[in-house]
Amino acid sequence: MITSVHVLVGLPILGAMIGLFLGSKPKGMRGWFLFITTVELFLLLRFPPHIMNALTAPLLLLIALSACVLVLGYPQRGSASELFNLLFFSGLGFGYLLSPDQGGLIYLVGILALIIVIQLRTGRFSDPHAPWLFGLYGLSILCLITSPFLEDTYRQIALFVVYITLLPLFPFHGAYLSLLRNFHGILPAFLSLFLPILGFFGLAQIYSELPEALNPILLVCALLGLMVGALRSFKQNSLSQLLSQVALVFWSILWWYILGPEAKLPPAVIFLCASSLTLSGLFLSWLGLKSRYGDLTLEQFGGLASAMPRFGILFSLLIASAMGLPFFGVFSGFIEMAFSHSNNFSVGLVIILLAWFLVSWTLPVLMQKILFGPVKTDWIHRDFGRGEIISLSLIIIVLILIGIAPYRLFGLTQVPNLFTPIMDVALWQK
Amino acid sequence: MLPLLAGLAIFLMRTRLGEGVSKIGLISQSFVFILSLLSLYAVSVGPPIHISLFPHMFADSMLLRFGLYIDRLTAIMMVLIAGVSVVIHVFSARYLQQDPGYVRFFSLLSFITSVLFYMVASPNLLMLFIFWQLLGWILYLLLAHNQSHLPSCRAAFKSLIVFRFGDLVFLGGVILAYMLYGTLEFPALFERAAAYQISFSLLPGGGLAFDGVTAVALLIFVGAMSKSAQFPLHIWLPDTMFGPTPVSALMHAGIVNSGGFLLNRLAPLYGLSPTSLNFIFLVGALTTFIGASIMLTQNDVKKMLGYSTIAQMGYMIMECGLGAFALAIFHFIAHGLFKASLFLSAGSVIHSTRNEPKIPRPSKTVRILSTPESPKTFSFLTWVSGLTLTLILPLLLLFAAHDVFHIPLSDQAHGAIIFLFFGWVTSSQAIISLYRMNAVASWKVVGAMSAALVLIIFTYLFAGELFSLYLYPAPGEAAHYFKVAALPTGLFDFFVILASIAIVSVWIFLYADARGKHILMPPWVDRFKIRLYVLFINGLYVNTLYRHSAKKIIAFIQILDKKVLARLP
Repeated sequence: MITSVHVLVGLPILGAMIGLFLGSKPKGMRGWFLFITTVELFLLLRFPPHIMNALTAPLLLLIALSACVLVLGYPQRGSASELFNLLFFSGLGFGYLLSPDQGGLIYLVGILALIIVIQLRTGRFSDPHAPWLFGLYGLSILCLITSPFLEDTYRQIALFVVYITLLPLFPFHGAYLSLLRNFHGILPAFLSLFLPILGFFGLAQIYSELPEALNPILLVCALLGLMVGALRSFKQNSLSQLLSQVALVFWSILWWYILGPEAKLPPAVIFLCASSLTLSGLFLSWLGLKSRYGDLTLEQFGGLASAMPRFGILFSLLIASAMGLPFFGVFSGFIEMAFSHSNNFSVGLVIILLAWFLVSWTLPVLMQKILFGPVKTDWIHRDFGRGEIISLSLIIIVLILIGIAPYRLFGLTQVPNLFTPIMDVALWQK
Repeated sequence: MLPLLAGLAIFLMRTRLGEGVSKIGLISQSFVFILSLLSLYAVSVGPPIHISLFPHMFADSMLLRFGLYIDRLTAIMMVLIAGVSVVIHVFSARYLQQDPGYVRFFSLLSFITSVLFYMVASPNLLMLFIFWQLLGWILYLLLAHNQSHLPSCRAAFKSLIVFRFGDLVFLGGVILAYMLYGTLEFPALFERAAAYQISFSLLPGGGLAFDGVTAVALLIFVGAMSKSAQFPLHIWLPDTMFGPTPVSALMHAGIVNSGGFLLNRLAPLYGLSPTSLNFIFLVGALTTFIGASIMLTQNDVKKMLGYSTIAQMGYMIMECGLGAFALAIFHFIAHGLFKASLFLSAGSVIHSTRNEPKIPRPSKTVRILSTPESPKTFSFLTWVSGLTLTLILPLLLLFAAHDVFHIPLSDQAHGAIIFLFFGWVTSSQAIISLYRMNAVASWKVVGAMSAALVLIIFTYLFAGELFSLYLYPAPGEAAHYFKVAALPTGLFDFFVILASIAIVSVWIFLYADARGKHILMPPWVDRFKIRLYVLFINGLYVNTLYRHSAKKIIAFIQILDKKVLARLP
């Protein structure tokens, strides 16, 4: 019997396969993918509420929304494989998030295998970071395949290895960063959001069963990752590399919170959704620039605020979001995490604030290099088109919505007063 | 809401209205100004106004508790902001005509006005912090108005970095306040901070312990330091002169004052921590001295103005550090109006100078000062009057009050002493300037000097008392702040002696100069003076120090990256 879960999982996969046949008609193909992702989003909104819980609902919605928005904002026409992969990934992701117990792990194997295949197809073996991708995702597949046959404790550890690869934790972040740098087209924008969501979801299932003795070590790893990301972002000359380091900073902050005492679910979900959506938006903007000017270094850009005013406004808003300015979700998520931490003022927080300051330095530098300065008159400038503007605007609107009404938006209604620090929804509590 | 809506309307109707968008801003600001005046009247005769905004919309939100808390401090700030905003709108409508960023400027101007309003009317620390951050971001966009001009963009970036540093330390203070007291609503926060003496430690096991109130107060003060350009976070202000004139006016008249507002808003918290008030005084005094000294050596008029503002802000912060919170409000209102008019009239002065067919005839004063060959005049009458008014009379009054009439200089009179101290220093400065400009034997000059002394002293006493009574009407509240801020025994005397020595030295120097005599000094003094001059003309090399440190840090990061981090994924 076909259930609504089957429809949600099958629709994008089937849609992706049909879309392949439309490869010769770029406009029709894009329209088809857009139609599928919109239907998927609509179906999710109409999904029977008993199947989704407080955690899966926002994550599923975010994946569906980002797939829809990225197809809409996709600047290149004609690359069927990227859109195919995007839909295929989202179908597998729905399968993982909606499958009970161990059944979902097979979807995860599929996702990781597809990533390895894509990396093989890009042929960037000379890239020094490629071995990390093959190594860590290969190891993850191995862990996933063997986990059903292991004893409980080992099974949890095997799955934990998979999840710290998906939601990057230092020193397991190499694979994630590598794919953000090396993958073509729309995929970095999608995977930057998609993989951490999967990792976070998996982690929520097993975290309470992990030995508590691991926490201090993992906390040190998170803080190290934070500093590595913040420091390395200083040196990057390419937007994708800089954004990948900023991503590491975001996920390290999330890990710091998760590993802290009495971590709660809602602030972590808000931060996860807002950070991933911001990254996705920034990668999409970068894709827009890359499709117009090629893969240039930051130094080669300049003056786009005057030449591409619509892009300038949207890009600066996304940078503001990444810098953690109000009223975007990143700010709200971080503030709620900081306030709901029982021992919120500690050396860890001081390091986080320091790293945040470093990121607040590099992101405006990035913005200034791209937007400000004299206009390059020898370049042919073409401002963002309707699709790109609508998709980036949607991302910004959702980020603001997450920022100003996070609990209502996510259906996390059991929310206490800001000034009473005890919260009811607490998946992480041991 | 009106300025916010105006900002949105300007942005949305930019293509339809073109440069007509300025009217939207102007009409809304004028209306807001009238409303601010009405609010000022309402809170002057009645209790503070507390409005909860969108209670249903944000009922579930842990983060946002939007509201407006309009007390007398807020109302005064609102009138000042709205007034300055109206003037700047009127000025900018023509000043920026045909500027490619005309619409963006007016949209941002409305947004920044709105942010300032919400900031001053915040009922809790979190909301205040949110708008505090937004203020820095919008100011950055306004400073980078001319986006193709790289020096403007660099200066804007420097401002943003300093603001972000201050913001993040401020955020640390907000988080710590919540951790210690469990609330961020102002009345409850002050109440709990007064009721509980809490300390906290950074490390597990009680390592690195600090007093709670002092730590919160100092962390938040770093935020105030960044916005109010206090040493050593003052570096952003002198470089921002590339921005449009209305932005300079807005910044110098309003935004740099936000530090003073913050300290006033949190006065009950600072009133619990003598250490933090003493630190604030020290930072303010250092900023005043450094700002004023650097200003005197600058040869660029705009930089002079920048450093002048830094010195004034230091003065304002110093007043807060002495417990004279209300006096700081009076000070920044006066300074704000003065600086705004200065900036806004600067353009027309330059314009008229450019239109002048020949070099204008210099004024009498300029002629006297600029002719080194002209014989120096000396008037015994004026010189003695100046010395008497600036030094002998105040000291005699102090002696008579304290030793003859036995009026106590502590407890209740503490505030009056502080006001008199500031009045004395300010009037001495004014009298010395008057003397230098017109050192002729004239009863008129003596009269002007006496009038300056009386006017300044009475303004300080009157305004200080009036503002204290108006802003802190609770019995004994203002006096309590003065008492808490009392400097350690002997330190205040040291400042009085230091100021007296400075005044005596100036009069001796003026006397010798007018008589054509030279004061014999050891050769190292001249060398020291030259070195000092070079030091100050280069802004104490603070910028260089920052640049050098940043280069070193980046070099260290690069080495770290090459040797260690590059081997990581």
